Amino acid sequence: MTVQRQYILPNCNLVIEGLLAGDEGDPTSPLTVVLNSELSFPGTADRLSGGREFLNAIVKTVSDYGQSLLSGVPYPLEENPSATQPVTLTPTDKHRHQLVATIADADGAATQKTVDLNSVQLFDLMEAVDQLLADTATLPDMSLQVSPLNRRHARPAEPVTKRVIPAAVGLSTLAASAALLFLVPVPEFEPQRSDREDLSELVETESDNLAESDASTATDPPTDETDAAAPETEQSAEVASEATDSDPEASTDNEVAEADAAIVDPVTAGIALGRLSSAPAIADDDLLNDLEAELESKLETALADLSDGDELPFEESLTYRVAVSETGDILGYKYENDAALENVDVTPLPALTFVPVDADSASDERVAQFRITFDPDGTVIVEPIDADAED
Amino acid sequence: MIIRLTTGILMLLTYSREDMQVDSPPASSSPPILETLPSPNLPSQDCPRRVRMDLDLLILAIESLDVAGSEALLKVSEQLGLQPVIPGRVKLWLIRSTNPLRRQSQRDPLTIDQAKALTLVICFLAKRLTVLIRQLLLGYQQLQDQNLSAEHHFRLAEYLQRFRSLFRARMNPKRAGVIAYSTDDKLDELAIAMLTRLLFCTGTQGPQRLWSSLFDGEVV
Repeated sequence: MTVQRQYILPNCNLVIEGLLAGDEGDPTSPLTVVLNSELSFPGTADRLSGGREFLNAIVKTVSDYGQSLLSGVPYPLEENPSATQPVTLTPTDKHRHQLVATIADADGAATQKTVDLNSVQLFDLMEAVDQLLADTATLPDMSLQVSPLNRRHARPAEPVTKRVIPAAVGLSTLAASAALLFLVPVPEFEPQRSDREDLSELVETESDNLAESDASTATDPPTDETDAAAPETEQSAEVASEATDSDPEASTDNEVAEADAAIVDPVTAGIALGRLSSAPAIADDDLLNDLEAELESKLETALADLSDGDELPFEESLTYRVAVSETGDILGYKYENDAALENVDVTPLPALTFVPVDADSASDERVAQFRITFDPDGTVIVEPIDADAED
Repeated sequence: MIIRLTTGILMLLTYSREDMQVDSPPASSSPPILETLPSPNLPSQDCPRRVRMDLDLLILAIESLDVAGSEALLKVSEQLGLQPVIPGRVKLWLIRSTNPLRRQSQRDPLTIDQAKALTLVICFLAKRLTVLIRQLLLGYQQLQDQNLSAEHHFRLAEYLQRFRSLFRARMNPKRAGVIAYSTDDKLDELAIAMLTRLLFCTGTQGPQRLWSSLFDGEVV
């Protein structure tokens, strides 16, 4: 029995003619064979008809085209009808769409028919197809098959040339600025001699002296005492003298313990300076001036006391560098000319230098550096050492 | 003593377990209607940028067609049983603010369930507005054929004007995506494109088609 299924919409009618499957008496049973399918657009004379192949092509094309309209992402659709795809849809200007179908006549000759559709007509066509697909009582083997397009079909938001422009501009700007900067001379780095460097230099020179003066300290008092003592004490004294030779701390203790330890030899002064290698410099100008005045008066008095009215035992001016703490204590000194090295014992410096108990530990006390000059006539000149002015 | 302690701890445990049952919703909390839309095979768990933009713009078009559109949106989501996903006005605003073009754009992601809910609501509302949408599009087509401006169609002009003002009020004019629509003509084009999309949402398979189209070019 031949039946007709109609899908009527305001702007598109789809009529399917086919043979019923199964029970002849049941009009709702699905179709087995599609004899004819006809598309007509009310208000126009356009009619498209064909068999199952035509119907399949219409369903596929309309469904895909509808999706591409919805998403704005172009589907890979064919532009011109071919043997495999007899129906095509292409967009034309003014929001219109062109449906082109290749239809076989009754004679068997193929003719192309073109139908122009506006958006609403196209929607009605799609809706007719959708209703057919949703209708399980007509062709249950056909169903809506939509799935999102893969990423590789995604159309870039902007053409490649347009996207390349910002990158090219960026690169050329970088190149231009690099070329310009290349012409700019490299700024010369003038190493600023920091106070810290000064101090470490002091320490190095002093430790050279240390080796020389060791020889003299080795032959000092401890041996006299051990002459009369028992073997055990001799042994312990040996240990003690060994300690004096090798261990600077022990030697410091020894010196401090002695009654006439007021005179500090260059060794201990050097050790004291070792503590100062990491000491920060005093930057306060007022404090520096105070320290300078204090140091000058202290040294002049001490020098006068030492000479005791006599002439000073040196003919040349003696120049030293000294490091002074915030409280005015002399923490270390270093000779600056040969006469200064030879005559260090006749200056008040060894007596005035403050030797800490734990000479090994580095000090974080702030220090100021001065250059002092003892003139043979008994005057003392103190001038601050400006780290920047050195070198 | 120890026995008492252990029973106390046991009681505490049972209480807390009961509390947990009351507090947390059942595992399958998403409304069954969302199952009608298949989850796309996305590279990440959240919706891509284009989905967030498109859904918000489609709702904007619905609001431009119907003054009470946002109210209707809440009512429809209630009717469809989507309350677990869109519990109220604030949540709806937050979900819509995932649109990166918005002035108060949220950095929160748009979940697949939220996108599904919006898709269903949009299609439902579009179906209600079918007659108006078709009228406007047919009218636009006639004006185009006669080379006339949109002012000659009262309803269409009203729709375009509302769309433009809503768009400008809500979108961040500094974003490149918004600058592209700086002129009235460009915005009108966007409004017509959204109207056409709404028309395609009104069909029998509207939700499936819209849902699938949202992820065109995004799935792997």
